[in-house]
Amino acid sequence: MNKMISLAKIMFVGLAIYLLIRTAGNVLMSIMYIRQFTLESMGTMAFNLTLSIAYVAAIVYFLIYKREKWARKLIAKDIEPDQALDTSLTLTMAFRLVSVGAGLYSMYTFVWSFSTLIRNLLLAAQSDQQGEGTRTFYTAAFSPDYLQPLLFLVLAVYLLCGAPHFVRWQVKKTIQFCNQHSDLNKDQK
Amino acid sequence: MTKNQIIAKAMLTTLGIYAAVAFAVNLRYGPANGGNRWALLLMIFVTAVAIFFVVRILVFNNDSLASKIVGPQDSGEDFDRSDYLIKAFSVAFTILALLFLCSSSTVRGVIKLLQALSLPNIRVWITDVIETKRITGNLTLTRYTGIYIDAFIKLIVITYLLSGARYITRWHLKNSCSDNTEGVNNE
Repeated sequence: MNKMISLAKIMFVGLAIYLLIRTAGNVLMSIMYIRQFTLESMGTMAFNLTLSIAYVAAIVYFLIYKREKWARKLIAKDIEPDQALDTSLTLTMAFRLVSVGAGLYSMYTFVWSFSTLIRNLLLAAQSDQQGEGTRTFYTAAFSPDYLQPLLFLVLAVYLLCGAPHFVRWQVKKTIQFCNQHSDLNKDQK
Repeated sequence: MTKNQIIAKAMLTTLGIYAAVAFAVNLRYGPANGGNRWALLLMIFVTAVAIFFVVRILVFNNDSLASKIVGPQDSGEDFDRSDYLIKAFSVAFTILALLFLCSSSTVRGVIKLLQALSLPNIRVWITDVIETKRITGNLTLTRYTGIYIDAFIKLIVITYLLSGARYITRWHLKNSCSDNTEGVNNE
Protein backbone atom coordinates (compact mmCIF):
# COMPACT_ATOMS: atom_id res chain seq x y z
CA MET A 1 0.00 0.00 0.00
CA ASN A 2 1.11 3.55 -0.73
CA LYS A 3 2.82 5.10 2.31
CA MET A 4 1.10 8.45 1.83
CA ILE A 5 -2.35 6.80 1.85
CA SER A 6 -1.36 5.02 5.04
CA LEU A 7 -0.30 8.36 6.60
CA ALA A 8 -3.59 9.95 5.50
CA LYS A 9 -5.47 7.07 7.16
CA ILE A 10 -3.53 7.67 10.40
CA MET A 11 -4.43 11.37 10.17
CA PHE A 12 -8.16 10.61 9.74
CA VAL A 13 -8.22 8.25 12.70
CA GLY A 14 -6.30 10.85 14.76
CA LEU A 15 -8.87 13.49 13.87
CA ALA A 16 -11.70 11.07 14.76
CA ILE A 17 -10.14 10.28 18.17
CA TYR A 18 -9.62 14.01 18.83
CA LEU A 19 -13.29 14.73 18.07
CA LEU A 20 -14.39 11.76 20.20
CA ILE A 21 -12.32 13.07 23.13
CA ARG A 22 -13.95 16.52 22.78
CA THR A 23 -17.42 14.90 22.72
CA ALA A 24 -16.63 12.71 25.73
CA GLY A 25 -15.47 15.83 27.63
CA ASN A 26 -18.81 17.51 26.90
CA VAL A 27 -20.74 14.44 28.04
CA LEU A 28 -18.75 14.38 31.30
CA MET A 29 -19.45 18.07 31.82
CA SER A 30 -23.17 17.60 31.16
CA ILE A 31 -23.37 15.51 34.36
CA MET A 32 -22.97 18.78 36.28
CA TYR A 33 -26.19 20.10 34.77
CA ILE A 34 -28.13 17.65 36.92
CA ARG A 35 -29.41 20.12 39.49
CA GLN A 36 -31.78 17.61 41.06
CA PHE A 37 -32.71 14.08 40.11
CA THR A 38 -36.00 15.18 38.52
CA LEU A 39 -37.68 14.01 35.29
CA GLU A 40 -36.90 17.34 33.57
CA SER A 41 -33.23 17.26 34.55
CA MET A 42 -32.81 13.63 33.55
CA GLY A 43 -34.69 14.28 30.29
CA THR A 44 -32.21 17.03 29.37
CA MET A 45 -29.38 14.67 30.16
CA ALA A 46 -30.93 11.89 28.01
CA PHE A 47 -31.43 14.33 25.10
CA ASN A 48 -27.80 15.46 25.40
CA LEU A 49 -26.64 11.84 25.44
CA THR A 50 -28.75 10.94 22.36
CA LEU A 51 -27.28 13.85 20.38
CA SER A 52 -23.76 12.91 21.48
CA ILE A 53 -24.28 9.25 20.47
CA ALA A 54 -25.52 10.33 17.01
CA TYR A 55 -22.46 12.59 16.62
CA VAL A 56 -20.12 9.79 17.73
CA ALA A 57 -21.76 7.37 15.27
CA ALA A 58 -21.28 9.88 12.42
CA ILE A 59 -17.59 10.35 13.33
CA VAL A 60 -16.97 6.60 13.57
CA TYR A 61 -18.72 5.95 10.22
CA PHE A 62 -17.14 8.74 8.16
CA LEU A 63 -13.68 9.08 9.68
CA ILE A 64 -12.87 5.55 10.88
CA TYR A 65 -14.98 3.10 8.86
CA LYS A 66 -14.66 5.04 5.55
CA ARG A 67 -11.09 6.25 6.18
CA GLU A 68 -9.59 4.32 3.27
CA LYS A 69 -12.01 5.95 0.79
CA TRP A 70 -11.26 9.48 2.07
CA ALA A 71 -7.51 8.80 2.14
CA ARG A 72 -7.55 7.65 -1.50
CA LYS A 73 -9.48 10.81 -2.47
CA LEU A 74 -7.02 13.00 -0.56
CA ILE A 75 -3.90 11.37 -2.05
CA ALA A 76 -4.82 11.38 -5.72
CA LYS A 77 -1.43 10.45 -7.19
CA ASP A 78 0.87 7.66 -6.20
CA ILE A 79 3.38 9.85 -4.35
CA GLU A 80 6.18 8.28 -2.35
CA PRO A 81 8.08 10.35 0.24
CA ASP A 82 11.66 11.21 -0.66
CA GLN A 83 13.92 8.58 0.90
CA ALA A 84 17.16 10.45 0.21
CA LEU A 85 16.65 13.10 2.91
CA ASP A 86 19.03 13.16 5.84
CA THR A 87 17.29 12.16 9.09
CA SER A 88 18.51 15.16 11.16
CA LEU A 89 17.39 17.46 8.33
CA THR A 90 13.97 15.77 8.32
CA LEU A 91 13.77 16.21 12.09
CA THR A 92 14.65 19.92 11.84
CA MET A 93 12.07 20.36 9.09
CA ALA A 94 9.43 18.57 11.16
CA PHE A 95 10.07 20.81 14.18
CA ARG A 96 10.03 23.94 12.00
CA LEU A 97 6.76 22.84 10.44
CA VAL A 98 5.29 22.27 13.91
CA SER A 99 6.50 25.75 15.00
CA VAL A 100 4.94 27.46 12.00
CA GLY A 101 1.67 25.57 12.57
CA ALA A 102 1.66 26.63 16.23
CA GLY A 103 2.47 30.19 15.11
CA LEU A 104 -0.61 30.26 12.88
CA TYR A 105 -2.71 28.99 15.77
CA SER A 106 -1.23 31.71 18.06
CA MET A 107 -1.97 34.36 15.44
CA TYR A 108 -5.60 33.19 15.32
CA THR A 109 -5.77 33.41 19.15
CA PHE A 110 -4.13 36.85 19.06
CA VAL A 111 -6.77 38.16 16.60
CA TRP A 112 -9.52 36.74 18.80
CA SER A 113 -8.15 38.18 22.08
CA PHE A 114 -7.32 41.55 20.47
CA SER A 115 -10.83 41.93 19.00
CA THR A 116 -12.32 40.98 22.41
CA LEU A 117 -10.15 43.66 24.08
CA ILE A 118 -11.28 46.33 21.57
CA ARG A 119 -14.94 45.33 22.06
CA ASN A 120 -14.60 45.55 25.86
CA LEU A 121 -12.85 48.94 25.66
CA LEU A 122 -15.62 50.28 23.38
CA LEU A 123 -18.32 48.95 25.72
CA ALA A 124 -16.54 50.52 28.72
CA ALA A 125 -16.27 53.90 26.95
CA GLN A 126 -19.94 53.71 25.91
CA SER A 127 -21.21 53.02 29.43
CA ASP A 128 -18.94 55.80 30.82
CA GLN A 129 -20.67 58.31 28.53
CA GLN A 130 -24.13 57.26 29.78
CA GLY A 131 -23.50 58.76 33.24
CA GLU A 132 -23.20 57.57 36.81
CA GLY A 133 -26.65 56.01 37.06
CA THR A 134 -26.11 53.46 34.27
CA ARG A 135 -22.70 52.14 35.22
CA THR A 136 -22.28 48.50 34.26
CA PHE A 137 -19.83 45.70 34.86
CA TYR A 138 -17.52 47.17 32.27
CA THR A 139 -16.95 50.41 34.18
CA ALA A 140 -17.11 49.04 37.70
CA ALA A 141 -15.02 45.89 37.40
CA PHE A 142 -13.50 45.86 33.93
CA SER A 143 -9.75 46.28 33.80
CA PRO A 144 -8.39 45.95 30.25
CA ASP A 145 -6.08 42.97 29.81
CA TYR A 146 -3.37 44.18 27.42
CA LEU A 147 -0.91 41.49 28.42
CA GLN A 148 -2.74 38.54 26.85
CA PRO A 149 -2.90 39.82 23.22
CA LEU A 150 0.68 41.09 23.54
CA LEU A 151 1.94 37.67 24.69
CA PHE A 152 0.09 35.96 21.82
CA LEU A 153 1.55 38.41 19.30
CA VAL A 154 5.11 37.84 20.53
CA LEU A 155 4.57 34.06 20.56
CA ALA A 156 2.99 34.09 17.08
CA VAL A 157 5.79 36.19 15.52
CA TYR A 158 8.51 34.02 17.10
CA LEU A 159 6.88 30.74 16.05
CA LEU A 160 6.03 31.96 12.54
CA CYS A 161 9.70 32.89 12.08
CA GLY A 162 10.45 29.19 12.62
CA ALA A 163 11.47 29.51 16.31
CA PRO A 164 15.19 28.92 15.51
CA HIS A 165 16.42 28.59 19.13
CA PHE A 166 13.57 26.33 20.12
CA VAL A 167 14.00 24.09 17.05
CA ARG A 168 17.79 23.87 17.55
CA TRP A 169 17.31 22.97 21.22
CA GLN A 170 14.68 20.31 20.43
CA VAL A 171 16.76 18.71 17.65
CA LYS A 172 19.88 18.68 19.86
CA LYS A 173 17.95 17.16 22.76
CA THR A 174 16.29 14.48 20.60
CA ILE A 175 19.58 13.45 18.94
CA GLN A 176 21.25 13.30 22.39
CA PHE A 177 18.47 11.02 23.61
CA CYS A 178 18.90 8.79 20.52
CA ASN A 179 22.67 8.59 21.11
CA GLN A 180 22.21 7.86 24.83
CA HIS A 181 19.82 5.03 23.99
CA SER A 182 22.11 3.50 21.35
CA ASP A 183 25.11 3.73 23.75
CA LEU A 184 23.06 2.01 26.44
CA ASN A 185 22.09 -0.75 24.00
CA LYS A 186 25.73 -1.26 23.00
CA ASP A 187 26.76 -1.49 26.67
CA GLN A 188 24.06 -4.08 27.35
CA LYS A 189 25.19 -6.17 24.37
CA MET B 1 7.10 -2.62 13.51
CA THR B 2 6.91 -0.33 10.47
CA LYS B 3 7.49 3.44 10.31
CA ASN B 4 3.77 4.12 9.90
CA GLN B 5 2.95 2.00 12.94
CA ILE B 6 5.43 4.04 14.97
CA ILE B 7 3.82 7.28 13.72
CA ALA B 8 0.38 5.89 14.66
CA LYS B 9 1.69 4.97 18.12
CA ALA B 10 3.09 8.48 18.64
CA MET B 11 -0.24 9.97 17.55
CA LEU B 12 -2.25 7.69 19.87
CA THR B 13 0.04 8.42 22.84
CA THR B 14 -0.24 12.17 22.25
CA LEU B 15 -4.02 11.97 21.95
CA GLY B 16 -4.15 9.91 25.15
CA ILE B 17 -2.23 12.59 27.07
CA TYR B 18 -4.45 15.27 25.53
CA ALA B 19 -7.58 13.35 26.59
CA ALA B 20 -6.33 12.87 30.16
CA VAL B 21 -5.58 16.59 30.52
CA ALA B 22 -8.85 17.64 28.84
CA PHE B 23 -10.91 15.39 31.15
CA ALA B 24 -9.01 16.50 34.29
CA VAL B 25 -9.29 20.19 33.42
CA ASN B 26 -13.04 19.76 32.77
CA LEU B 27 -13.51 19.25 36.52
CA ARG B 28 -13.00 22.97 37.10
CA TYR B 29 -16.43 23.64 35.53
CA GLY B 30 -18.08 21.41 38.12
CA PRO B 31 -18.16 23.75 41.14
CA ALA B 32 -18.78 26.84 38.99
CA ASN B 33 -21.96 25.35 37.49
CA GLY B 34 -23.56 25.04 40.91
CA GLY B 35 -24.71 21.45 40.47
CA ASN B 36 -25.48 19.29 43.49
CA ARG B 37 -22.82 17.46 45.49
CA TRP B 38 -23.79 13.97 44.21
CA ALA B 39 -23.51 15.19 40.62
CA LEU B 40 -20.01 16.54 41.40
CA LEU B 41 -18.97 13.23 43.00
CA LEU B 42 -20.41 11.29 40.05
CA MET B 43 -18.53 13.57 37.67
CA ILE B 44 -15.23 13.05 39.54
CA PHE B 45 -15.75 9.26 39.57
CA VAL B 46 -16.67 9.04 35.86
CA THR B 47 -13.76 11.35 34.95
CA ALA B 48 -11.28 9.24 36.96
CA VAL B 49 -12.51 6.03 35.27
CA ALA B 50 -12.37 7.71 31.81
CA ILE B 51 -8.79 8.94 32.43
CA PHE B 52 -7.72 5.46 33.60
CA PHE B 53 -9.06 3.72 30.47
CA VAL B 54 -7.88 6.42 28.07
CA VAL B 55 -4.32 6.32 29.47
CA ARG B 56 -4.31 2.51 29.46
CA ILE B 57 -5.64 2.12 25.92
CA LEU B 58 -4.14 5.14 24.14
CA VAL B 59 -0.88 5.82 26.00
CA PHE B 60 0.46 2.46 27.16
CA ASN B 61 -1.26 -0.46 25.36
CA ASN B 62 -1.62 1.07 21.92
CA ASP B 63 0.30 -1.49 19.83
CA SER B 64 -2.73 -3.41 18.56
CA LEU B 65 -4.70 -0.21 17.91
CA ALA B 66 -1.78 1.25 15.92
CA SER B 67 -1.53 -1.93 13.84
CA LYS B 68 -5.28 -1.83 13.15
CA ILE B 69 -5.17 1.83 12.07
CA VAL B 70 -2.30 1.32 9.65
CA GLY B 71 -3.45 -2.05 8.33
CA PRO B 72 -1.21 -4.73 6.81
CA GLN B 73 2.23 -3.30 6.00
CA ASP B 74 5.43 -4.57 4.49
CA SER B 75 7.66 -5.15 7.53
CA GLY B 76 10.84 -5.55 5.47
CA GLU B 77 11.89 -1.90 5.91
CA ASP B 78 15.46 -1.46 7.08
CA PHE B 79 15.70 1.33 9.66
CA ASP B 80 16.68 1.94 13.29
CA ARG B 81 13.39 1.43 15.12
CA SER B 82 14.39 2.96 18.44
CA ASP B 83 15.86 6.02 16.71
CA TYR B 84 12.72 6.52 14.65
CA LEU B 85 10.46 6.01 17.68
CA ILE B 86 12.31 8.64 19.74
CA LYS B 87 12.10 11.17 16.89
CA ALA B 88 8.43 10.49 16.12
CA PHE B 89 7.46 10.76 19.80
CA SER B 90 9.53 13.93 20.21
CA VAL B 91 7.77 15.67 17.31
CA ALA B 92 4.32 14.47 18.46
CA PHE B 93 4.91 15.67 22.04
CA THR B 94 6.12 19.06 20.80
CA ILE B 95 2.91 19.45 18.76
CA LEU B 96 0.81 18.78 21.87
CA ALA B 97 2.91 21.06 24.11
CA LEU B 98 2.62 23.96 21.65
CA LEU B 99 -1.10 23.29 21.23
CA PHE B 100 -1.53 23.66 25.00
CA LEU B 101 0.83 26.64 25.18
CA CYS B 102 -0.93 28.57 22.40
CA SER B 103 -4.47 28.04 23.74
CA SER B 104 -6.06 31.15 25.20
CA SER B 105 -7.14 29.42 28.43
CA THR B 106 -3.52 28.49 29.28
CA VAL B 107 -2.10 31.97 28.66
CA ARG B 108 -4.99 33.64 30.52
CA GLY B 109 -4.59 31.17 33.39
CA VAL B 110 -0.81 31.72 33.61
CA ILE B 111 -1.27 35.52 33.66
CA LYS B 112 -3.89 35.20 36.40
CA LEU B 113 -1.70 32.72 38.31
CA LEU B 114 1.29 35.10 38.20
CA GLN B 115 -0.95 37.99 39.26
CA ALA B 116 -2.38 35.90 42.08
CA LEU B 117 1.09 35.10 43.42
CA SER B 118 1.64 38.73 44.43
CA LEU B 119 0.97 39.28 48.15
CA PRO B 120 -2.09 41.60 48.00
CA ASN B 121 -3.76 39.24 45.53
CA ILE B 122 -3.19 36.20 47.75
CA ARG B 123 -5.18 38.06 50.41
CA VAL B 124 -7.98 38.74 47.87
CA TRP B 125 -7.98 35.10 46.83
CA ILE B 126 -8.21 33.83 50.44
CA THR B 127 -11.04 36.32 51.08
CA ASP B 128 -12.76 35.01 47.96
CA VAL B 129 -12.54 31.40 49.23
CA ILE B 130 -13.83 32.39 52.70
CA GLU B 131 -16.68 34.46 51.19
CA THR B 132 -17.69 31.55 48.95
CA LYS B 133 -17.73 29.28 52.00
CA ARG B 134 -19.88 31.79 53.91
CA ILE B 135 -22.39 32.15 51.05
CA THR B 136 -22.64 28.55 49.85
CA GLY B 137 -21.86 26.84 53.17
CA ASN B 138 -19.26 24.64 51.43
CA LEU B 139 -15.58 25.03 50.81
CA THR B 140 -16.16 24.89 47.04
CA LEU B 141 -13.71 26.05 44.45
CA THR B 142 -14.20 29.61 43.27
CA ARG B 143 -14.12 30.58 39.59
CA TYR B 144 -10.54 31.82 39.84
CA THR B 145 -9.33 28.73 41.70
CA GLY B 146 -10.52 26.67 38.72
CA ILE B 147 -8.52 28.87 36.35
CA TYR B 148 -5.39 28.51 38.53
CA ILE B 149 -5.78 24.71 38.65
CA ASP B 150 -6.23 24.60 34.86
CA ALA B 151 -3.09 26.71 34.30
CA PHE B 152 -1.07 24.73 36.86
CA ILE B 153 -1.95 21.32 35.34
CA LYS B 154 -1.21 22.55 31.82
CA LEU B 155 2.10 24.15 32.83
CA ILE B 156 3.29 20.87 34.36
CA VAL B 157 2.21 18.89 31.28
CA ILE B 158 3.82 21.42 28.87
CA THR B 159 7.13 21.27 30.78
CA TYR B 160 7.06 17.47 30.83
CA LEU B 161 6.25 17.21 27.12
CA LEU B 162 8.84 19.78 26.03
CA SER B 163 11.49 18.00 28.04
CA GLY B 164 10.78 14.92 25.88
CA ALA B 165 8.42 12.94 28.16
CA ARG B 166 11.32 10.57 28.88
CA TYR B 167 9.38 8.09 31.02
CA ILE B 168 6.70 7.42 28.38
CA THR B 169 9.25 7.29 25.54
CA ARG B 170 11.51 4.89 27.48
CA TRP B 171 8.52 2.71 28.32
CA HIS B 172 7.63 2.46 24.63
CA LEU B 173 11.26 1.88 23.66
CA LYS B 174 11.45 -0.96 26.14
CA ASN B 175 8.15 -2.55 25.14
CA SER B 176 7.82 -1.84 21.43
CA CYS B 177 11.35 -2.06 20.10
CA SER B 178 12.40 -5.24 21.87
CA ASP B 179 12.72 -8.35 19.73
CA ASN B 180 9.91 -10.15 21.58
CA THR B 181 7.16 -7.79 20.50
CA GLU B 182 8.18 -7.47 16.86
CA GLY B 183 6.71 -10.80 15.99
CA VAL B 184 3.39 -9.88 17.52
CA ASN B 185 3.25 -6.52 15.75
CA ASN B 186 4.08 -7.91 12.35
CA GLU B 187 1.19 -10.37 12.40
